[in-house]
Amino acid sequence: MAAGWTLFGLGLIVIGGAIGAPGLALVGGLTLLSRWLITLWSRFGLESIAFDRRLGTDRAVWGDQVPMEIEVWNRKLLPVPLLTADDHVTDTLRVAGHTLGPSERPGRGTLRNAWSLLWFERVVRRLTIDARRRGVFLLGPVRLTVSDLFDRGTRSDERELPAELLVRPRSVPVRSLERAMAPLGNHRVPASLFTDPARFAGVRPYQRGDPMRRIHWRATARTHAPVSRRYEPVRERQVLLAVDLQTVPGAYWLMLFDDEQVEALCVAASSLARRILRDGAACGLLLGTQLAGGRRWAYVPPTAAPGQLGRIDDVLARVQPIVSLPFETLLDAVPRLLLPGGSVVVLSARDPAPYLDPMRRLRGSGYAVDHVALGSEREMARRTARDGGVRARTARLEPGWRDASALVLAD
Amino acid sequence: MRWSSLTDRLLGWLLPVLAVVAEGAFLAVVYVAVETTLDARVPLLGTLELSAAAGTTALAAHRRWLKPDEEPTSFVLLLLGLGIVGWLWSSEARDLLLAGNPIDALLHHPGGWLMLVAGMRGVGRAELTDDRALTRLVLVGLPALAAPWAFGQFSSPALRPVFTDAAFVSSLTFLTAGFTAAGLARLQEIGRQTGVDWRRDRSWLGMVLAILALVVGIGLPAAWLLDLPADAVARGILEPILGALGYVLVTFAAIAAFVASILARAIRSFGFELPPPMTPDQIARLQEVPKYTVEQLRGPIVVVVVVWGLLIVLGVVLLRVWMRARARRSGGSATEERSFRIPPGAFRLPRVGRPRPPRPAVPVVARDAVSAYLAALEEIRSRRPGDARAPSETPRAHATRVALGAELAALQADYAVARYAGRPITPPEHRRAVERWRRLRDRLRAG
Repeated sequence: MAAGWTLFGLGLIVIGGAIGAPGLALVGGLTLLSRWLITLWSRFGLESIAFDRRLGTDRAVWGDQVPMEIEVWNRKLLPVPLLTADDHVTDTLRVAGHTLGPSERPGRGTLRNAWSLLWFERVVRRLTIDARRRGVFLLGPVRLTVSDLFDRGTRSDERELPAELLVRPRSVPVRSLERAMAPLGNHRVPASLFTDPARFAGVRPYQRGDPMRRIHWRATARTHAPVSRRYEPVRERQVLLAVDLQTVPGAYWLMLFDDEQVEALCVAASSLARRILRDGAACGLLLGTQLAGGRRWAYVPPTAAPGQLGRIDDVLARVQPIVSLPFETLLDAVPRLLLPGGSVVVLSARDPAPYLDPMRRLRGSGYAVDHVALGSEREMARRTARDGGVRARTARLEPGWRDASALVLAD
Repeated sequence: MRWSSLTDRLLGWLLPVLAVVAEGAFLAVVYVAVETTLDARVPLLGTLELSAAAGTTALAAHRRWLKPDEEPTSFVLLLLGLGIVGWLWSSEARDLLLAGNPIDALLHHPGGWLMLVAGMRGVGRAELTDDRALTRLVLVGLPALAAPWAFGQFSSPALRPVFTDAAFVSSLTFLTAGFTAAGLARLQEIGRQTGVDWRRDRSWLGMVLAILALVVGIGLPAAWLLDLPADAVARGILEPILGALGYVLVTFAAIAAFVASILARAIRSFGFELPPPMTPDQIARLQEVPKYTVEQLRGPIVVVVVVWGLLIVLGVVLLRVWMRARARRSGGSATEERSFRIPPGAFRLPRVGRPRPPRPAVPVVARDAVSAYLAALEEIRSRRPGDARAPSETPRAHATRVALGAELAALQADYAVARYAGRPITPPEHRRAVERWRRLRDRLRAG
């Protein structure tokens, strides 16, 4: 059809020129021009269009506002009347002032932006991501579409531009109702093969074989008998935070969950990990739930190294509320992961009866086990755990995980 | 998105108005061709009158005053009324009617028939103002203009310039109104689909300006080609507006005359004596209004054009500021930064034709140790492409990898000493290097 009109226009030009009718030639020229013009943008509109998306950070904490810049640059002379960019993002992402549209990809929504660009015009649009939901948010691919101005023709191009935003759970201070409450996972180590020379603990009589540099010369002179320095034994506390993310009683494979409780558990886990690390212990994390990215469980080995809290929070950010392993199975795996003598802090929001036996077995194997009960049934859970011979505490986030100013522990 | 703001209502009006102007302009070209060719008369009707006929029925149908399907009688009566207005637009037709020859009056002026057609087209434009309908109007209407233009070629030589001028002006009006309407309708449709508020970007303004620039860009050389004055282009863009302005002024003048006559009677009733109205003889005896040439009026014309141009620009800027302010008040948290950056090589013309073949490599002649090594590399590359030295490979690593014997090892050592260590190589060593290259070359060629 288009070719027919083109031929018609050419014919008019030829006839107009042949019979000396410039008006006809003009109409022929205009016909050709209009046919060329209406599909101009679907042919050339997407050429030399530079598109980029930049996130202010790839990690945020719940409640943060993450800046996002979208840059589009028309690097050619032809203005673009309408350029639409459909960014396929995780459908729970919230962008201030924007509502996500539907997407043909599962679990994705469309963040739509549109511009009209003059020649060589570059536009940087600043948006704000409202991190009001914990999780992993994927961005990309982006579909760029240019529409014709006088026709319904469009042309699209897809750019990958993958990006990931990790929103970690919020973390609150941990407070104890009782002043004398021992820190979580803190247990006296009676003896050690090694001592810490930085922790001077007094003197003792010289024993045969003590190195010369260990003799305390001033005390020897004062007491007229050789004495050696004594140091505290080396004790690196290792605390493994095992989080039971099953929030509804019953079989784990029913995949029932209480979303609010899952979020509260993540906030409590992050807060406890921060507290344990601040107390100088090595903290790790163990949980058996589906994680964003496909893993069925997560284990972060205990360490007190810098950045450990970030690693734990990253895992908590990826937690999805679908339990993939029974918690008992997870606790049974602890001896393979943690050396005897370490502490296991079990954080749960349900009745601990189903996993009391594994906890008792861990105690029998030399682990210090603490049970921290969260949720509305925490008192009953604490009683059950204590009756089962496990040291238990309660934890609460009042009025809720969103607004709580502290995680309050009680014996 | 809300589409009920004042701007949207304005756009809602603008699209049908532009559509009926385009319809009227097309029919005006047809009318001019018929009037100058068949009737050999100067055309009386123009784009404005035919657009008004289309607009009347469009408005009536849009307001549901007229229901062509349900009440065809009223529709036919309205069309007849429009036809009568068109037929009696000619004073000769009116004279014929007064003389008692209604059939002759009916056939005298074809404008009536075209007013009738305009009325029928207007009904369609009352509803069909979406982008597809308006684009079709332009895309089909533009080549269809060939028919009246071809028909007009048969007009008498005396009327040919009249035809060309009127048809050119109306064609430009059709082009401007049609493309603007199609573009705005498309933007509105895109906005509906994408949720983009077209008021918040400049696409509409850029599009209107681009269409005006295109029409001027086409119109000026076309006017020169058709031997028409350049102001025909301006008339093509502004004729409907100026025509409507003229009618408004005439209406005001008529109202003012009516009010003045009532005032005069009232003043006389109070006993005041007013001078009697001037008789035609007195008017004829009045001092003749001096006539000016274009050269004499060039200065004032330029001033008027500049002032009007500035007023139009000011109006566009104010409209734009107002619309942006409205859009900003309506919400939106995104901030934008716009700039213009010309990438390097943006104006480089694309290479036409086949890409230039790569320049053939100049063979290296082995004259010393360095050139002997380079010639050996060239020989290896041509004979055994897999053993060619990689850009990231040192000479020694390459020699070790390909294991082509002691010749290449010695050649690369000479090369490294000369190029990397900067130490001079003795003439006997140069001779030995060339000999090594020859032996290596012969061995490679022997396979």
